[in-house]
Amino acid sequence: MKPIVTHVARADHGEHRYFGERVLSGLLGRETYTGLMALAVLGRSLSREDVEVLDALAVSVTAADPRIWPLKVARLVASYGEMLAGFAAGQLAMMGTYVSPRIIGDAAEQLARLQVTLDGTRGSDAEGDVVGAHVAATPRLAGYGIPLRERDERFDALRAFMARRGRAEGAHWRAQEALSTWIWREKRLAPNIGIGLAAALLDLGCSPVQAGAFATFLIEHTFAANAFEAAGQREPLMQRLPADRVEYVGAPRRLSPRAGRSATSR
Amino acid sequence: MNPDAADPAVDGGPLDDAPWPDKLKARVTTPGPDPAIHGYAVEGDLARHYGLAEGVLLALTGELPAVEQAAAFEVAFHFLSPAPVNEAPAHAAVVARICDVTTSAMAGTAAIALAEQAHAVVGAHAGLLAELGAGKGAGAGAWAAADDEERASVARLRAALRERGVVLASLEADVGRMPALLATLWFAGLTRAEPIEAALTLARLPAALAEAFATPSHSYRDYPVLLPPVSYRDPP
Repeated sequence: MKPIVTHVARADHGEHRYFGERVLSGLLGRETYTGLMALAVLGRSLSREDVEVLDALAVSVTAADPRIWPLKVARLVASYGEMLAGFAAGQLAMMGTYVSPRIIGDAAEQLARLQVTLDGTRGSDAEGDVVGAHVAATPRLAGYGIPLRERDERFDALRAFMARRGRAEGAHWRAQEALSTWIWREKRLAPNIGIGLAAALLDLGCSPVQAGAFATFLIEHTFAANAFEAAGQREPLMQRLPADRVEYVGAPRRLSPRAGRSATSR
Repeated sequence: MNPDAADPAVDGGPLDDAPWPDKLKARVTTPGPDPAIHGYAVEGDLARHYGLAEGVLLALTGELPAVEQAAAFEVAFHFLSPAPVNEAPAHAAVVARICDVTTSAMAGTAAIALAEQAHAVVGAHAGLLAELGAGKGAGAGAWAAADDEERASVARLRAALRERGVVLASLEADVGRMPALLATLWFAGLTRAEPIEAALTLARLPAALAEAFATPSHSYRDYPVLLPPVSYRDPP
């Protein structure tokens, strides 16, 4: 049987290896939790400065309102008292197409393509043409449009942070700015946090697939918070809504053919 | 003051300001003391006049099946019910059992893995489902049996269906085991990927859970932890 090769970890005698690092004699005291997450996704350590950007991304994307759909799933399932069940169910609710950090993977893939074609056009008349052609060739542009409000406050805060930290000159961040400027001018659609995360993660050296995975892991604390609280509350209203808060819109009451025959034969 | 109202001093925000329905819509089961599924009373009608397979088909399709459809579904359900421990769903459930988790965690583990397995199976047969939808039948070609073991299994499926009065033209070709079972589910009324995946998951769940229940909890040292073999390499 051919062994499955892993680069993740191995339990040694007296030590544990993790992506080429020695956990106890190398990482302990040096690496942060976010840095470990970077190791998990990228398979390599990031610099302290890059980990600070990751921390900022995690903070900026924090939207933990329990009413947000996947978080609601976590609370509903955790309402019987088991935090981990709620946490796991909430994670599954992120496997969708629309309410999902996976969209950041799509945004990153699109942005990476744009960055390649934009290269060398910065500030020239050709820049707008390149962006316009990119938008025309991208059927479902990820990272734009914001539900329930006009601007995404999380994107605006991240943009300010990136400027303050001198990170706004990254190639993908600049591509994002060119794209966002064009889309606002032509379509009046504002950028959301997804395109900001995608650009920042690409500039940290992530592939689009890694960017999508990172975006998922960076919000896990929001599920932890909701699942933990909901498990402790064991809220009856989460376990069961009052019947008068449910409206039945399905098939009307009907008699089955066999019940009908049974009734007529009596 | 409406006791349900949010406190605007605390609860103002875009979610609070947007219009939302004030009731959760029920589309299959009527809530309350005398529940119905797709309109049929569960306790006074379905439980008295219909079998389990018919109830499952009703839930998944919205309509009660014909007698032949229910028979075909029962046969296919049996054929689909094994969940061998060397496949990931039962294997995962067994490992969860060894970890001494709750029954809910075991059921959740098995259900997730079975649903993922079912999703992969249906995805791999998307072309077959399209052909069935176009009225072409399962045919052979890409869906042909891979070996004599598959042919023997399909022969047993044909025989079991025939004994229940069901003859499917799709199964007369040299078709593989899973294509034959999907064609049988299609005949039973499951003509979309979603209910087919649900049926695959439901069929295997009891056996996967039973395999876990039969495993002693805490039996860490009795589990072949080195299977399959995994070899660590530092990242390139």
